[in-house]
Amino acid sequence: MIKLKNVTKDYGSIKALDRVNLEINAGEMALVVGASGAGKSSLMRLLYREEKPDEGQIIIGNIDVSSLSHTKIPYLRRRMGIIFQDFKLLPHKTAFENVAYALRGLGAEEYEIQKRVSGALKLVGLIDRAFNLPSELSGGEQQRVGIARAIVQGPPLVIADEPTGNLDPATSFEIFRLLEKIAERGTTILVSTHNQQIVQEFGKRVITLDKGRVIADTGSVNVPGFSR
Amino acid sequence: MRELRIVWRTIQEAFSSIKASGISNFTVISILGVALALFGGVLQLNSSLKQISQNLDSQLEFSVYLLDSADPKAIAREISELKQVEKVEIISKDIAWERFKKRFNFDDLSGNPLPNTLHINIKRPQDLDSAVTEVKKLSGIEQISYAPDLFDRLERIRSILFSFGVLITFILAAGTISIVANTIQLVIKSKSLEIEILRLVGVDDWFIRGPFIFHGIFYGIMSALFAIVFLLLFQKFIWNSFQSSFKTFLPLTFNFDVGSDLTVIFVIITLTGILVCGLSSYFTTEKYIKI
Repeated sequence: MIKLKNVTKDYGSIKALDRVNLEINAGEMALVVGASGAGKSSLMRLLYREEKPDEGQIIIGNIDVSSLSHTKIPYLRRRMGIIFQDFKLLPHKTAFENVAYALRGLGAEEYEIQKRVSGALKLVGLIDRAFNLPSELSGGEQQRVGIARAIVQGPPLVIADEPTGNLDPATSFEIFRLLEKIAERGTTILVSTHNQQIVQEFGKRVITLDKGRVIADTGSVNVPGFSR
Repeated sequence: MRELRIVWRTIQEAFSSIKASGISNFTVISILGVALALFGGVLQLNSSLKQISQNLDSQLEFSVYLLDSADPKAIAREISELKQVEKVEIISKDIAWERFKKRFNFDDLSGNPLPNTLHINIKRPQDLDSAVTEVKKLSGIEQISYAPDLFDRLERIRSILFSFGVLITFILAAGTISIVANTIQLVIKSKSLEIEILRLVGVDDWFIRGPFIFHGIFYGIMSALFAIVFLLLFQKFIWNSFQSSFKTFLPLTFNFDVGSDLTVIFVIITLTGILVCGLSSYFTTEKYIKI
């Protein structure tokens, strides 16, 4: 599903990612861990083409993300859901409208929007809070809305950048359980976190980054032809 | 169908951002409206002066005052044989004196001081000087009254006024472009979260930029309407009274009916407003929205 070959990203003199090689299979849930500045967020941003690698190749599905033209970026992003640490919810829109907002922009029909948004909110357990504003929801509930928005199009890949960074431990566990539930439905999920408790509790594949390099990968597969 | 739905939602989004802009909408529309009204005024003035120039073609005339000893009919016959001359009218000194007394309510005190007069119409305004030169050569002429180079002077005045008006309009338009760009930039900043969400979920570029460009076009249309209403009021209450005063002062009768040109001017104003604001918004979104 995701392949990174010798990916390097520099920000001036700072090397955010240094010759990273990775392969994540379809339907797999992997956690990317590391201290602040290890390169987790840079990796995520490269995957959804918010940034372009300085060197190397990134392939998602059959799309070469690293050489993708500007006009094709929306097509890539429609095939993935993105979850953010700060939820990125529109404060003046209800939970339902927040999830529906992107679908409207994508030109979905009204009945389809109703069906998909209700389904996504049901999956994250927020159907009874559908018409509440973000300010009327707890942090955990807000992140559930963010997850509902990420999965509402039924993408094969979900990228979550520190989704529990602003949440307490109990709520963080709930969010990870929810992500695990989504992965069980066949969605590939890549989550960055620095929460060690969660890493140990969930027993998923863990990719450890340090100073932009992969220093450990509990479940890495051997990709022939890749240099490390 | 999907495309139509997106267009409809783009317009809805545009109106939501127009609503969110509040009072700044009125500021932009009124400033741009004044600029477009000025532009329309320049076009209207240019059109009217052009008509005056064209009307001079058929109405240009000069007057010849004869010595008392001269025979008006004989001189009129000679003048009418000139190739530049269209028509010669004889106003005898008695008729002229009667008209003068009647007009100024004047009593006959010391006899008629007015000369016999010939009113001469020429075929083309550019023939005026040569016609006058020819007439001067005739005997029995006391004085000739004419406005040399009137046509050329009027054309020069029109050209200067038009160039000056267009220059002022361009200066105002440049100012307006920056005001529209700043307003759209503020709207973009206030909607930065929406824009970020839309681009990260893979919404098409034009759905993200579209509402802002439509917002600008809305300014163009509203400003053009403002300018049109202003010009209509100006035409009805100021121009018409100016027109009647002008008629009284000038010996020539001008046709100021610019009704048909007015429609063209309104179309030009509206298209200019849409183009200026639409392009200004487009370049602002190009600069501030990175997909």
